Amino acid sequence: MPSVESFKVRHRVWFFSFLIGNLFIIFLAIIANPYRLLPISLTITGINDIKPNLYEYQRYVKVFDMAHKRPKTVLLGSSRILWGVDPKHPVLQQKHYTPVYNGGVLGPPMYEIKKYFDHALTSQPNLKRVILGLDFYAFNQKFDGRTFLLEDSFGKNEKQLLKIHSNLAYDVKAIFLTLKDSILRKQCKSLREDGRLTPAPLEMREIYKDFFKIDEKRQVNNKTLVTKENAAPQMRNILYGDFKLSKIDMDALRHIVDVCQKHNIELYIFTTPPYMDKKKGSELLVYHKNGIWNDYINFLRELASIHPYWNFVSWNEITTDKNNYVDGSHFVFSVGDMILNRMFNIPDSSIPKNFGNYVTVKNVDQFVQNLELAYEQSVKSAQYNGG
Amino acid sequence: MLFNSFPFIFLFFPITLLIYFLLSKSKTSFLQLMWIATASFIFYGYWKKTYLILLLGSVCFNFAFAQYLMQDKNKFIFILGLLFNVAVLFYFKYTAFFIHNISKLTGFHFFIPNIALPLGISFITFQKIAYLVDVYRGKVKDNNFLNYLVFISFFPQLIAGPIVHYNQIMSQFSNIRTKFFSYRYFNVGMTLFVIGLAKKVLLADTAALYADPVFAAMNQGISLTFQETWIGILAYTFQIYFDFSGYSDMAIGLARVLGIRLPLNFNSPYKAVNIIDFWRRWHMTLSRFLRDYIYIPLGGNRNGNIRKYTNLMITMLVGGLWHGANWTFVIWGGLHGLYLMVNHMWVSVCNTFRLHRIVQTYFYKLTSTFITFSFVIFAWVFFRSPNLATVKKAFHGLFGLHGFGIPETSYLHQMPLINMIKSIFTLDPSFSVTGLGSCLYLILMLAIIWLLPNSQELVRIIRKPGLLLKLLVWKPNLAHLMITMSLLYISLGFMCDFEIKPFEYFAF
Repeated sequence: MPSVESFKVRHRVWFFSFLIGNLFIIFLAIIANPYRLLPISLTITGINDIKPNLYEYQRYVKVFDMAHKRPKTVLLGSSRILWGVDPKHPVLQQKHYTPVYNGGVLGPPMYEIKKYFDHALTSQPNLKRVILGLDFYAFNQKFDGRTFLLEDSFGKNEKQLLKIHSNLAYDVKAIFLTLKDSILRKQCKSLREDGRLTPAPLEMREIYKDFFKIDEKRQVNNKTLVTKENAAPQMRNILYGDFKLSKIDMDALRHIVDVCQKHNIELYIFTTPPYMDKKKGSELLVYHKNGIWNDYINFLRELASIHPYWNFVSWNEITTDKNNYVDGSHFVFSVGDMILNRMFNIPDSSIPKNFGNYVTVKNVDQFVQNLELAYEQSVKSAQYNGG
Repeated sequence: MLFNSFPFIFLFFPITLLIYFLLSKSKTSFLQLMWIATASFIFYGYWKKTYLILLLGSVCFNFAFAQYLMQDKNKFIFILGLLFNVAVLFYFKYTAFFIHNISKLTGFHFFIPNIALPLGISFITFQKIAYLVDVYRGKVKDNNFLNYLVFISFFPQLIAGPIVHYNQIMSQFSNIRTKFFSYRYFNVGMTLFVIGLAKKVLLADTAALYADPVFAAMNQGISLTFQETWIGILAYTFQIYFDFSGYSDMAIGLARVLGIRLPLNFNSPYKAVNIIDFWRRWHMTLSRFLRDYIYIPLGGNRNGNIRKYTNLMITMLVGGLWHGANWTFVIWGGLHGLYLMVNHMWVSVCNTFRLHRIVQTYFYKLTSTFITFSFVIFAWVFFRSPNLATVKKAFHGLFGLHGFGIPETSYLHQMPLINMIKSIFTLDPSFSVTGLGSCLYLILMLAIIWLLPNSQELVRIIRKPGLLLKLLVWKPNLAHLMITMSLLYISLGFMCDFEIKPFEYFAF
C-alpha cells in the first residue's frame, strides 16, 4: 500500500508527464502546421518544408488560402492551371494586382470553378484580375449535381473557415507525415504559398510519372481498374464519356463573365493546351472517337459569343513537343509562361506565331474552319506515321 | 463550443483553467467566480451571440423572482416564476408543434413560425425551476447574483447537464479546497474527459455511421430488411448511450479538474435488470428531477396503486415531451411509463407470492437484463424516428416483414467504417466484410457495455469489487498515462477524419 506522500508524488509526476506529452504534441503541430492554418508559419528545410497534405486536401487549402490571402489576381481552372501556370510570372506582379493566387484544382467542373470565383470575390471585393483556363471536360453534363465537401465553406471568411476546419490544424497523421517527409527528404507534390504546385514539374520527374502513365495494376473484385495500357483511354472515358454540353456549366461561365463586367474585373479566358501527339493523335481525336466533335465546335462558338478567348489547343512546335509536357495533359511552367506572355502581349521570341489564337465572335467561323483543317491534316499525318 | 472540438480542447479549456487557478491567489473567490461566469458566457456565445441575451435575460428574471421569494414566500409569485420559465421553454420549443397540432385538429391553416431553439434551453430551464423550488422551500438562502450566474451558466454542465441543485454546486465553490489546483483532481478529471471523448468520437460517432442511413432510408419510405433494420437500430441504441454518457463523462471530468464534483448521470444503464433499475441508471439527474418535481408533487405512491400508476404515466409523458416537440417523444415517454407500470405490478406480484429466491438467481437476472434491453431498444425506435411512418417502417423491418439478408444495394456496402477496417488491417479489398463486419462491430459494442466496467468505476468514483476492475482501474502510473494519451490522440485523429458531430442531447 503506497503512503499518502508517495501517492501525491505519483499524481504530480503523472500530471507533469501528461502536460509535457501534450505540450510536445502541440509544439509538433505548430512546427509542422500541415495545412498552414495556424498563424505562426515558420518554414525550416529538413523539418517542415514538405507538406504533402496540402496537395491531398488542396480544395480545403485553396478555399482557406483565398479567404486568408485575399488575392487581387486569381488563376482559376483545373490541374493544368495548378500544375503549369506560375503566379510569380512578372506580368502578373504588377502593382495593384498583387497578391496573385493560383486557384486551380484537380478536375473541377465549371460550376465548381464558379464557386471558387465567387469565393475569391467574397474574400476580396477589390478583385482586379481573373485568368481562367478552360478544359472541355469541365462542361460535361454528367458532372452536374456533383456535391462537394466544401459546400458550406465557400463564401466564408478566414475566421469562419478556421472554426469549421480547425480540426485539420491538429491532424495528428498530417503532422507526422509532414515531419517524416521533411526529415527523410521524401519528394512529393505539395502547394506553394501562392497555390502553385511545388516542386515544379521536370524538377522532380520521378514523382510526375503518373496520370496517363500509371504503372500500377490494381485489382478490385477481379476487375482491373487502372493499368499502364488503359489509363489514358479510361481517363478520357471518365472525362468525355457520355458527353453533353452542360447548361449549368455554361451558365456558370456566363456568371463569371457578367460579374467581372459588373465589378470591372479584368478577365482573361484561354483554352488549356494538352499534348498534341503527332503519332497517336490528340485529345481532339478523342472528341472524334467519342462522337462529340460537333459538341466541341459548338462549345468553341458559344464560348466566343460569351467572351473573347485565347485558344491554345492546336498543333504547333510547343504543343507537339514532348519536353513541354509532364504527361499527356499537363504542360510545364515554361509553357504556362508562354501562354501568359502571349495573352499579355509580352514580346517573346521563343513563342511560335501559331501558338495561341485570339478568338472573338467576328473570327470564330474562320478559327473553327482552320481548326477542322488542322485536325484533318493531323489525322492524315498520324495515319501516315502509323498512328 | 463543442467539448469534442479542437478550439475547446486546445484553447478554451487550457486558458480557462490557467486563469482560474492564477486567480486563486486572491483572497476571496470573487475573481474566480467572475472568470468562470465570463468563460461560460464565451462558451455559450460561441454558437450564437444572441443566445447570450436570452440567457442573461432569463437569469435576471429568475433571480428577481428568487429574491422576492426569499423575502416573502408568496405562492402566487412562486407559480408566476415557474410559469415564466415554462412559457419561455414552451415558446422556443413547442410553439410550432402546438400550432401544427391545432391546425390539424381544427382544419385551419395557422402560420407556423420558424423559431430557432436556443442550445440547452431544456436543461437550463429545469435547473432554474429546481432553483426556484429550492428557494421557495427555504433550502437556498444565498442572494448573491454572481453565485446564481455561475450556478446557471457553469460551462461543463450548461448545455446538457447533469441537472444540479444550487447547494450541490455552490457549496463546493465556497469550499477552500476547490479554490486551489489539485493534481489528483486534474488527473482524474482529465482521464474521465478523455474516456468521454473516446466514447463520443470512437464509439458514438462510428455507431452513427450505421444508424443514420437506416433512419434516413426509412424516413424516405424505403423498406429495409430484417438485418439492415436491426443493425441500424442496435447501432442507434449504442450511439445514444455512448454519445450522452460520453458527454456526461466529459462534463464531470471538466468540472472535476476545476475542483467541482458533478453528480453522476449514467451507471451502465444497459446492465439494468428491469426498467425501474434502468431509470436509476439512465440520465440519473433527469430521473431525480422528474421524481422530485413532478411525480412526488402529483402525489407519488401515496394514494393507492391507480393514482401511483397515473402519476407514473404523467411523469413519463412529460419526460418524453421534454426531450422534443414531437409525438414520437411523447409515445416514447408513454411507453416507458407503461413499462414502469408493468414493472411495479410485477414487483407487487413477487412480493405477494414471495418470489424473492427466483428473482435473486443468476439466470433470472440474465434473462431480465436481456428482456429489459430489448424493450429499451423498441422504445428507442420511437425516440429516433422523426415521424410515425418511420416507426411503422422500422417495426416492419424489425419483424422481418420486408425480407431478410443484406441486398446488393444495401447501405452497409457503403460504410466508411468497413473501408476503414479494410485499410487498417490491409485486408484484400475484394473480401466482403459487410455482414461479418457489422456483426463483429455490434458484438464489440455489446461486449463494451455488458462486460467492461463503466467510466465512473474506472476512475473509482464508484467503487466496486472485481478482478477485472482491479486490473483496469485508473492509477497514476506510466501504463495509464500511455493509455490515456493514446486514447486522446486516437480520438483526435478520428476527429480529423470524420466530420465533427454535435452531441445528440444538444437537440433536447
